[in-house]
Amino acid sequence: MSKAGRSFTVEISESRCRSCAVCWEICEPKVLGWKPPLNKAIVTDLEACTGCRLCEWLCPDWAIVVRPTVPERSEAAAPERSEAVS
Amino acid sequence: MNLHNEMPATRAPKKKPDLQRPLDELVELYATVPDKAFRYCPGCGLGMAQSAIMRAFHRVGVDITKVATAGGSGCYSVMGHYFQSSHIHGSHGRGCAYATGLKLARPELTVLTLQGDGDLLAIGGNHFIHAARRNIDITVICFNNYNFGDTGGQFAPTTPLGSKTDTSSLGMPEPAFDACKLAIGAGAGFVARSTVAHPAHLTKMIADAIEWKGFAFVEVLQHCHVLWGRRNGMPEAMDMMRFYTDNSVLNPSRIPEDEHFDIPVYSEDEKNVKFVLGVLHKERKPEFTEEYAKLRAKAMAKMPGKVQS
Ligand SMILES: Cc1ncc(C[n+]2csc(CCOP(=O)(O)OP(=O)(O)O)c2C)c(N)n1
Ligand code: SF4
Ligand code: SF4
Ligand code: SF4
Ligand SMILES: [Mg+2]
Repeated sequence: MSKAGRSFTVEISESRCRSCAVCWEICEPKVLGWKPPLNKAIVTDLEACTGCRLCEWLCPDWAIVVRPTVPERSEAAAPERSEAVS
Repeated sequence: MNLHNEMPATRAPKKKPDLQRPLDELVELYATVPDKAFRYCPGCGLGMAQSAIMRAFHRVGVDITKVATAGGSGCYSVMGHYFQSSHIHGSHGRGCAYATGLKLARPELTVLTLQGDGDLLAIGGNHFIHAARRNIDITVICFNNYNFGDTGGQFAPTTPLGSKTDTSSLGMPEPAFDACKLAIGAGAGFVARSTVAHPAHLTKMIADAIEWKGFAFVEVLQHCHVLWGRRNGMPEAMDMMRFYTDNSVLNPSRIPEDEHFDIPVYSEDEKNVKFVLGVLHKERKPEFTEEYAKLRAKAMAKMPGKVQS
Protein backbone atom coordinates (compact mmCIF):
# COMPACT_ATOMS: atom_id res chain seq x y z
CA MET A 1 0.00 0.00 0.00
CA SER A 2 1.29 3.46 -0.86
CA LYS A 3 1.97 6.14 1.72
CA ALA A 4 -1.24 7.94 0.81
CA GLY A 5 -3.12 4.87 1.98
CA ARG A 6 -4.23 3.84 -1.48
CA SER A 7 -3.89 0.27 -2.65
CA PHE A 8 -3.61 -1.20 -6.11
CA THR A 9 -4.07 -4.40 -8.03
CA VAL A 10 -1.48 -5.50 -10.55
CA GLU A 11 -2.73 -7.95 -13.19
CA ILE A 12 -0.18 -9.72 -15.36
CA SER A 13 -1.28 -11.67 -18.41
CA GLU A 14 0.78 -14.84 -18.43
CA SER A 15 0.08 -15.45 -22.09
CA ARG A 16 1.23 -11.96 -23.15
CA CYS A 17 4.36 -11.85 -20.96
CA ARG A 18 7.57 -12.71 -22.81
CA SER A 19 9.94 -12.71 -19.84
CA CYS A 20 11.96 -9.67 -20.82
CA ALA A 21 12.72 -8.77 -17.16
CA VAL A 22 11.97 -5.06 -17.60
CA CYS A 23 9.08 -4.89 -15.11
CA TRP A 24 10.71 -6.60 -12.15
CA GLU A 25 13.94 -4.70 -12.68
CA ILE A 26 12.30 -1.26 -12.75
CA CYS A 27 9.90 -1.93 -9.88
CA GLU A 28 11.73 -0.31 -6.99
CA PRO A 29 9.58 -1.66 -4.12
CA LYS A 30 10.10 -5.18 -5.52
CA VAL A 31 6.44 -5.96 -6.05
CA LEU A 32 7.23 -8.08 -9.07
CA GLY A 33 9.25 -11.23 -9.57
CA TRP A 34 9.42 -14.18 -11.96
CA LYS A 35 8.47 -17.82 -12.02
CA PRO A 36 10.71 -20.52 -13.49
CA PRO A 37 11.00 -22.35 -15.83
CA LEU A 38 9.70 -19.77 -18.35
CA ASN A 39 10.49 -16.83 -16.05
CA LYS A 40 7.15 -15.16 -16.64
CA ALA A 41 6.50 -12.11 -14.47
CA ILE A 42 4.46 -12.61 -11.30
CA VAL A 43 3.31 -10.43 -8.42
CA THR A 44 5.23 -11.34 -5.25
CA ASP A 45 4.43 -8.51 -2.83
CA LEU A 46 1.32 -6.58 -3.83
CA GLU A 47 1.19 -4.69 -0.51
CA ALA A 48 4.37 -2.83 -1.46
CA CYS A 49 2.92 -1.43 -4.72
CA THR A 50 2.95 2.38 -4.84
CA GLY A 51 0.86 2.55 -8.00
CA CYS A 52 3.62 4.33 -9.91
CA ARG A 53 2.55 2.50 -13.11
CA LEU A 54 6.08 2.25 -14.49
CA CYS A 55 5.64 -1.48 -15.08
CA GLU A 56 2.38 -0.90 -16.96
CA TRP A 57 3.84 1.91 -19.06
CA LEU A 58 7.06 0.11 -19.87
CA CYS A 59 5.97 -3.49 -20.44
CA PRO A 60 6.71 -3.79 -24.16
CA ASP A 61 4.09 -6.51 -24.55
CA TRP A 62 1.31 -4.66 -22.74
CA ALA A 63 0.93 -7.57 -20.32
CA ILE A 64 0.42 -5.52 -17.13
CA VAL A 65 -2.58 -3.54 -15.92
CA VAL A 66 -2.37 -1.51 -12.69
CA ARG A 67 -5.64 -0.45 -11.05
CA PRO A 68 -6.49 1.37 -7.83
CA THR A 69 -8.61 -0.95 -5.69
CA VAL A 70 -11.00 1.89 -4.83
CA PRO A 71 -12.26 3.35 -8.10
CA GLU A 72 -11.72 6.94 -6.93
CA ARG A 73 -9.26 7.93 -9.65
CA SER A 74 -9.62 11.68 -9.27
CA GLU A 75 -8.16 13.84 -12.02
CA ALA A 76 -5.72 15.43 -9.63
CA ALA A 77 -4.51 12.19 -8.07
CA ALA A 78 -1.05 10.85 -8.77
CA PRO A 79 0.94 13.59 -10.52
CA GLU A 80 2.80 12.58 -13.61
CA ARG A 81 6.38 11.50 -13.18
CA SER A 82 8.93 13.02 -15.45
CA GLU A 83 11.81 10.61 -15.03
CA ALA A 84 11.24 6.91 -15.40
CA VAL A 85 14.05 4.66 -14.42
CA SER A 86 16.46 5.71 -11.76
CA MET B 1 -36.25 28.06 -25.53
CA ASN B 2 -33.80 26.05 -23.51
CA LEU B 3 -30.61 28.01 -23.12
CA HIS B 4 -28.58 24.89 -22.49
CA ASN B 5 -29.46 23.45 -25.86
CA GLU B 6 -28.28 26.64 -27.51
CA MET B 7 -24.82 26.40 -26.06
CA PRO B 8 -22.38 25.30 -28.72
CA ALA B 9 -20.50 22.16 -27.79
CA THR B 10 -17.15 23.86 -28.31
CA ARG B 11 -17.86 26.27 -25.46
CA ALA B 12 -17.52 23.53 -22.86
CA PRO B 13 -14.07 23.61 -21.28
CA LYS B 14 -11.91 20.80 -22.63
CA LYS B 15 -12.13 17.95 -20.16
CA LYS B 16 -8.72 17.08 -18.79
CA PRO B 17 -7.77 13.53 -19.74
CA ASP B 18 -7.25 11.08 -16.93
CA LEU B 19 -3.54 10.42 -17.33
CA GLN B 20 -3.68 7.46 -14.96
CA ARG B 21 -6.23 5.50 -16.93
CA PRO B 22 -5.46 1.76 -16.86
CA LEU B 23 -3.96 0.25 -19.97
CA ASP B 24 -6.86 -2.05 -20.86
CA GLU B 25 -9.25 0.92 -21.01
CA LEU B 26 -6.86 2.82 -23.29
CA VAL B 27 -6.49 -0.23 -25.51
CA GLU B 28 -10.25 -0.35 -25.93
CA LEU B 29 -10.28 3.29 -27.00
CA TYR B 30 -7.24 3.47 -29.27
CA ALA B 31 -5.59 0.15 -30.09
CA THR B 32 -6.12 -3.21 -31.71
CA VAL B 33 -3.96 -5.71 -29.92
CA PRO B 34 -3.22 -9.01 -31.69
CA ASP B 35 -4.07 -12.29 -29.91
CA LYS B 36 -0.46 -13.36 -30.21
CA ALA B 37 2.46 -11.18 -29.12
CA PHE B 38 3.48 -8.00 -30.94
CA ARG B 39 5.88 -8.65 -33.77
CA TYR B 40 8.82 -7.08 -31.90
CA CYS B 41 11.49 -9.06 -30.02
CA PRO B 42 10.86 -9.52 -26.27
CA GLY B 43 11.90 -6.37 -24.40
CA CYS B 44 12.13 -4.21 -27.55
CA GLY B 45 11.72 -0.46 -27.07
CA LEU B 46 9.17 -0.35 -29.87
CA GLY B 47 6.46 -1.80 -27.61
CA MET B 48 7.24 0.91 -25.06
CA ALA B 49 7.17 3.69 -27.67
CA GLN B 50 3.86 2.35 -28.96
CA SER B 51 2.45 2.55 -25.45
CA ALA B 52 3.61 6.18 -25.16
CA ILE B 53 1.98 7.06 -28.49
CA MET B 54 -1.31 5.59 -27.28
CA ARG B 55 -1.13 7.63 -24.09
CA ALA B 56 -0.28 10.73 -26.15
CA PHE B 57 -3.46 10.14 -28.19
CA HIS B 58 -5.38 10.04 -24.94
CA ARG B 59 -3.62 13.10 -23.55
CA VAL B 60 -4.45 15.15 -26.64
CA GLY B 61 -7.96 13.70 -26.73
CA VAL B 62 -7.87 12.81 -30.41
CA ASP B 63 -10.79 11.20 -32.20
CA ILE B 64 -9.01 8.05 -33.27
CA THR B 65 -11.22 7.72 -36.36
CA LYS B 66 -9.74 11.05 -37.53
CA VAL B 67 -6.13 9.92 -37.14
CA ALA B 68 -4.04 8.44 -39.92
CA THR B 69 -0.50 7.12 -39.76
CA ALA B 70 2.00 6.30 -42.48
CA GLY B 71 5.21 4.31 -42.49
CA GLY B 72 7.54 2.11 -44.49
CA SER B 73 9.62 -1.02 -43.84
CA GLY B 74 11.40 -1.95 -40.65
CA CYS B 75 10.77 -3.55 -37.29
CA TYR B 76 8.56 -0.56 -36.38
CA SER B 77 6.43 -0.86 -39.52
CA VAL B 78 3.73 -3.06 -37.94
CA MET B 79 3.02 -0.42 -35.31
CA GLY B 80 0.49 1.44 -37.43
CA HIS B 81 -1.65 -1.70 -37.56
CA TYR B 82 -1.82 -1.88 -33.76
CA PHE B 83 -3.83 1.36 -33.51
CA GLN B 84 -7.47 1.87 -34.45
CA SER B 85 -6.42 4.75 -36.72
CA SER B 86 -6.02 4.28 -40.48
CA HIS B 87 -2.57 3.32 -41.64
CA ILE B 88 -0.62 3.46 -44.89
CA HIS B 89 1.97 0.69 -44.77
CA GLY B 90 3.89 1.80 -47.81
CA SER B 91 7.31 1.42 -49.33
CA HIS B 92 10.53 2.02 -47.45
CA GLY B 93 11.28 5.65 -46.56
CA ARG B 94 8.21 7.27 -48.08
CA GLY B 95 6.24 8.01 -44.89
CA CYS B 96 6.59 11.79 -45.23
CA ALA B 97 5.47 11.67 -48.87
CA TYR B 98 2.33 9.65 -48.03
CA ALA B 99 1.60 11.92 -45.08
CA THR B 100 1.99 15.06 -47.22
CA GLY B 101 -0.48 13.81 -49.82
CA LEU B 102 -2.92 12.62 -47.20
CA LYS B 103 -2.85 15.86 -45.24
CA LEU B 104 -3.34 17.96 -48.37
CA ALA B 105 -6.31 15.87 -49.48
CA ARG B 106 -7.87 15.58 -46.02
CA PRO B 107 -6.65 18.56 -43.93
CA GLU B 108 -9.09 17.70 -41.12
CA LEU B 109 -7.14 14.53 -40.27
CA THR B 110 -4.41 14.27 -37.66
CA VAL B 111 -1.55 12.75 -39.63
CA LEU B 112 1.50 11.06 -38.14
CA THR B 113 4.34 9.15 -39.67
CA LEU B 114 5.90 6.25 -37.78
CA GLN B 115 9.39 5.72 -39.19
CA GLY B 116 12.67 4.05 -38.33
CA ASP B 117 15.98 5.87 -38.34
CA GLY B 118 17.12 4.05 -41.45
CA ASP B 119 13.78 4.55 -43.11
CA LEU B 120 13.54 8.28 -42.36
CA LEU B 121 17.15 9.37 -42.62
CA ALA B 122 18.70 7.08 -45.24
CA ILE B 123 16.33 6.14 -48.08
CA GLY B 124 13.69 8.66 -46.94
CA GLY B 125 16.00 11.58 -46.22
CA ASN B 126 14.80 13.79 -49.04
CA HIS B 127 11.12 13.33 -48.26
CA PHE B 128 11.89 14.22 -44.66
CA ILE B 129 13.79 17.46 -45.25
CA HIS B 130 11.31 18.77 -47.80
CA ALA B 131 8.28 18.00 -45.65
CA ALA B 132 10.04 19.90 -42.86
CA ARG B 133 10.85 22.79 -45.18
CA ARG B 134 7.23 23.06 -46.33
CA ASN B 135 6.06 23.14 -42.73
CA ILE B 136 3.10 20.90 -43.46
CA ASP B 137 1.01 20.06 -40.40
CA ILE B 138 2.14 16.47 -39.81
CA THR B 139 3.94 14.80 -36.91
CA VAL B 140 6.98 12.72 -37.76
CA ILE B 141 8.05 10.19 -35.15
CA CYS B 142 11.45 8.61 -35.68
CA PHE B 143 12.36 5.43 -33.79
CA ASN B 144 16.11 5.70 -33.55
CA ASN B 145 17.63 2.32 -32.67
CA TYR B 146 21.02 3.11 -34.25
CA ASN B 147 20.73 0.45 -36.96
CA PHE B 148 18.67 -1.29 -39.64
CA GLY B 149 16.95 -3.70 -37.28
CA ASP B 150 14.63 -5.56 -39.60
CA THR B 151 17.38 -6.59 -42.01
CA GLY B 152 19.81 -7.85 -39.36
CA GLY B 153 21.51 -4.86 -37.79
CA GLN B 154 23.49 -3.14 -40.54
CA PHE B 155 24.74 0.38 -39.84
CA ALA B 156 22.42 3.33 -40.47
CA PRO B 157 23.11 7.07 -40.78
CA THR B 158 22.46 7.27 -37.02
CA THR B 159 24.94 4.57 -35.97
CA PRO B 160 27.20 6.17 -33.34
CA LEU B 161 30.80 6.70 -34.47
CA GLY B 162 32.95 3.78 -33.40
CA SER B 163 30.08 1.45 -32.46
CA LYS B 164 29.80 -2.08 -33.81
CA THR B 165 27.09 -3.30 -36.15
CA ASP B 166 26.71 -6.21 -38.56
CA THR B 167 28.44 -4.19 -41.28
CA SER B 168 30.88 -2.30 -39.06
CA SER B 169 32.29 -5.08 -36.90
CA LEU B 170 35.48 -3.13 -36.17
CA GLY B 171 33.62 0.08 -35.35
CA MET B 172 31.61 2.53 -37.43
CA PRO B 173 34.04 4.81 -39.28
CA GLU B 174 31.47 7.49 -40.21
CA PRO B 175 30.05 10.19 -37.94
CA ALA B 176 26.29 9.98 -37.38
CA PHE B 177 23.41 12.27 -38.24
CA ASP B 178 21.89 14.23 -35.39
CA ALA B 179 18.29 13.83 -36.55
CA CYS B 180 17.05 16.76 -34.47
CA LYS B 181 19.67 19.17 -35.81
CA LEU B 182 18.84 17.97 -39.30
CA ALA B 183 15.14 18.68 -38.73
CA ILE B 184 15.87 22.15 -37.34
CA GLY B 185 18.16 22.91 -40.25
CA ALA B 186 15.53 21.76 -42.73
CA GLY B 187 12.93 24.10 -41.21
CA ALA B 188 10.84 22.00 -38.81
CA GLY B 189 8.72 24.17 -36.49
CA PHE B 190 8.74 21.79 -33.52
CA VAL B 191 11.61 19.47 -32.68
CA ALA B 192 11.89 17.28 -29.59
CA ARG B 193 13.82 14.29 -28.35
CA SER B 194 13.04 11.69 -25.73
CA THR B 195 13.75 8.06 -24.93
CA VAL B 196 11.64 4.99 -24.20
CA ALA B 197 13.14 4.93 -20.70
CA HIS B 198 11.35 8.21 -19.88
CA PRO B 199 7.74 7.19 -20.63
CA ALA B 200 5.96 10.20 -19.13
CA HIS B 201 8.34 12.63 -20.82
CA LEU B 202 8.04 10.77 -24.11
CA THR B 203 4.25 10.85 -23.92
CA LYS B 204 4.33 14.61 -23.31
CA MET B 205 6.71 15.24 -26.21
CA ILE B 206 4.54 13.24 -28.62
CA ALA B 207 1.35 14.90 -27.37
CA ASP B 208 2.90 18.37 -27.80
CA ALA B 209 4.05 17.42 -31.28
CA ILE B 210 0.57 16.26 -32.28
CA GLU B 211 -0.94 19.49 -30.97
CA TRP B 212 1.64 21.65 -32.75
CA LYS B 213 0.29 23.30 -35.87
CA GLY B 214 2.93 22.77 -38.52
CA PHE B 215 5.67 20.23 -39.03
CA ALA B 216 6.61 18.52 -35.77
CA PHE B 217 9.43 16.06 -35.28
CA VAL B 218 10.08 13.76 -32.34
CA GLU B 219 13.20 11.62 -32.16
CA VAL B 220 12.56 8.62 -29.93
CA LEU B 221 15.70 6.90 -28.70
CA GLN B 222 14.45 3.31 -28.80
CA HIS B 223 16.68 0.45 -27.85
CA CYS B 224 17.44 -2.52 -30.04
CA HIS B 225 19.23 -4.59 -27.43
CA VAL B 226 19.01 -7.69 -29.62
CA LEU B 227 21.16 -6.35 -32.47
CA TRP B 228 22.87 -3.06 -31.60
CA GLY B 229 22.99 -3.53 -27.82
CA ARG B 230 24.38 -7.05 -27.98
CA ARG B 231 27.22 -5.90 -30.22
CA ASN B 232 28.04 -2.97 -27.96
CA GLY B 233 28.08 -4.49 -24.50
CA MET B 234 24.39 -4.00 -23.65
CA PRO B 235 22.66 -7.30 -24.42
CA GLU B 236 19.58 -6.82 -22.21
CA ALA B 237 16.73 -4.32 -22.60
CA MET B 238 17.44 -2.96 -19.13
CA ASP B 239 21.13 -2.38 -19.97
CA MET B 240 20.09 -0.01 -22.72
CA MET B 241 17.40 1.68 -20.66
CA ARG B 242 19.97 2.41 -17.96
CA PHE B 243 22.29 3.68 -20.71
CA TYR B 244 19.58 6.20 -21.68
CA THR B 245 18.74 7.33 -18.16
CA ASP B 246 22.39 7.53 -17.06
CA ASN B 247 23.34 9.74 -19.98
CA SER B 248 20.34 12.01 -20.41
CA VAL B 249 20.07 15.67 -19.60
CA LEU B 250 16.49 16.92 -19.33
CA ASN B 251 15.46 20.25 -20.82
CA PRO B 252 18.57 22.31 -20.21
CA SER B 253 17.92 25.99 -20.73
CA ARG B 254 21.45 26.55 -21.97
CA ILE B 255 24.04 24.05 -23.05
CA PRO B 256 27.73 24.97 -23.08
CA GLU B 257 28.90 24.66 -26.66
CA ASP B 258 31.63 22.11 -26.11
CA GLU B 259 29.37 19.98 -23.92
CA HIS B 260 26.41 19.82 -26.26
CA PHE B 261 26.79 16.30 -27.44
CA ASP B 262 23.79 14.33 -28.61
CA ILE B 263 25.39 11.69 -30.75
CA PRO B 264 27.21 8.97 -28.86
CA VAL B 265 30.79 8.25 -29.84
CA TYR B 266 32.33 4.87 -29.11
CA SER B 267 35.99 4.06 -29.01
CA GLU B 268 38.19 1.71 -27.00
CA ASP B 269 39.38 4.29 -24.50
CA GLU B 270 36.69 6.97 -24.68
CA LYS B 271 32.90 6.85 -24.55
CA ASN B 272 31.37 10.24 -25.03
CA VAL B 273 27.63 10.20 -24.51
CA LYS B 274 25.16 12.82 -23.43
CA PHE B 275 21.60 13.02 -24.69
CA VAL B 276 19.77 16.30 -24.48
CA LEU B 277 16.07 15.54 -24.09
CA GLY B 278 13.05 17.80 -24.33
CA VAL B 279 11.76 20.36 -26.80
CA LEU B 280 14.83 21.55 -28.67
CA HIS B 281 13.23 23.99 -31.09
CA LYS B 282 9.96 25.87 -31.61
CA GLU B 283 9.27 28.29 -34.43
CA ARG B 284 5.95 29.53 -35.84
CA LYS B 285 5.70 29.93 -39.60
CA PRO B 286 3.03 29.66 -42.31
CA GLU B 287 1.55 26.18 -42.53
CA PHE B 288 1.52 24.55 -45.94
CA THR B 289 -2.05 23.19 -46.23
CA GLU B 290 -3.41 26.64 -45.28
CA GLU B 291 -1.10 28.45 -47.68
CA TYR B 292 -2.05 26.01 -50.40
CA ALA B 293 -5.77 26.55 -49.76
CA LYS B 294 -5.26 30.31 -50.11
CA LEU B 295 -3.38 29.81 -53.34
CA ARG B 296 -6.15 27.60 -54.64
CA ALA B 297 -8.80 30.18 -53.78
CA LYS B 298 -6.76 32.82 -55.62
CA ALA B 299 -6.45 30.63 -58.70
CA MET B 300 -10.19 29.82 -58.61
CA ALA B 301 -11.08 33.51 -58.44
CA LYS B 302 -9.06 34.12 -61.59
CA MET B 303 -10.82 31.35 -63.51
CA PRO B 304 -13.15 32.59 -66.24
CA GLY B 305 -16.75 31.58 -65.44
CA LYS B 306 -15.95 30.97 -61.75
CA VAL B 307 -15.66 27.20 -61.37
CA GLN B 308 -17.02 25.95 -58.06
CA SER B 309 -14.57 23.86 -56.09
C1 LIG C 1 13.10 0.06 -51.30
C2 LIG C 1 13.60 -0.83 -50.24
N1 LIG C 1 14.93 -0.93 -50.00
C3 LIG C 1 15.41 -1.74 -49.03
C4 LIG C 1 14.53 -2.47 -48.27
C5 LIG C 1 15.07 -3.40 -47.20
N2 LIG C 1 14.80 -2.93 -45.86
C6 LIG C 1 13.76 -3.35 -45.16
S1 LIG C 1 13.71 -2.71 -43.60
C7 LIG C 1 15.16 -1.87 -43.90
C8 LIG C 1 15.79 -1.02 -42.84
C9 LIG C 1 14.92 -0.60 -41.75
O1 LIG C 1 15.66 0.09 -40.83
P1 LIG C 1 14.97 1.18 -39.93
O2 LIG C 1 14.17 2.09 -40.77
O3 LIG C 1 16.01 1.79 -39.06
O4 LIG C 1 13.93 0.34 -39.06
P2 LIG C 1 14.20 -0.72 -37.92
O5 LIG C 1 14.08 -2.05 -38.57
O6 LIG C 1 15.55 -0.45 -37.35
O7 LIG C 1 13.10 -0.49 -36.93
C10 LIG C 1 15.63 -2.09 -45.18
C11 LIG C 1 16.86 -1.50 -45.70
C12 LIG C 1 13.15 -2.37 -48.56
N3 LIG C 1 12.25 -3.04 -47.84
N4 LIG C 1 12.71 -1.56 -49.53
S1 SF4 D 1 7.80 -6.28 -18.79
FE1 SF4 D 1 6.00 -7.38 -19.59
S2 SF4 D 1 6.84 -8.91 -21.01
FE2 SF4 D 1 8.56 -8.16 -19.77
S3 SF4 D 1 8.70 -9.62 -18.05
FE3 SF4 D 1 7.37 -7.94 -17.37
S4 SF4 D 1 5.25 -8.60 -17.86
FE4 SF4 D 1 6.67 -9.91 -18.99
S1 SF4 E 1 2.94 0.14 -10.26
FE1 SF4 E 1 5.05 0.65 -9.67
S2 SF4 E 1 5.27 -0.20 -7.61
FE2 SF4 E 1 3.45 -1.14 -8.49
S3 SF4 E 1 4.19 -3.07 -9.40
FE3 SF4 E 1 4.27 -1.50 -11.02
S4 SF4 E 1 6.34 -0.66 -10.96
FE4 SF4 E 1 6.00 -1.77 -9.01
S1 SF4 F 1 15.59 -6.37 -34.02
FE1 SF4 F 1 15.87 -4.75 -32.51
S2 SF4 F 1 14.47 -3.10 -33.11
FE2 SF4 F 1 13.86 -4.96 -34.21
S3 SF4 F 1 12.24 -5.85 -32.92
FE3 SF4 F 1 14.17 -6.81 -32.33
S4 SF4 F 1 14.97 -5.58 -30.63
FE4 SF4 F 1 13.38 -4.39 -31.65
MG1 LIG G 1 16.46 1.44 -37.11
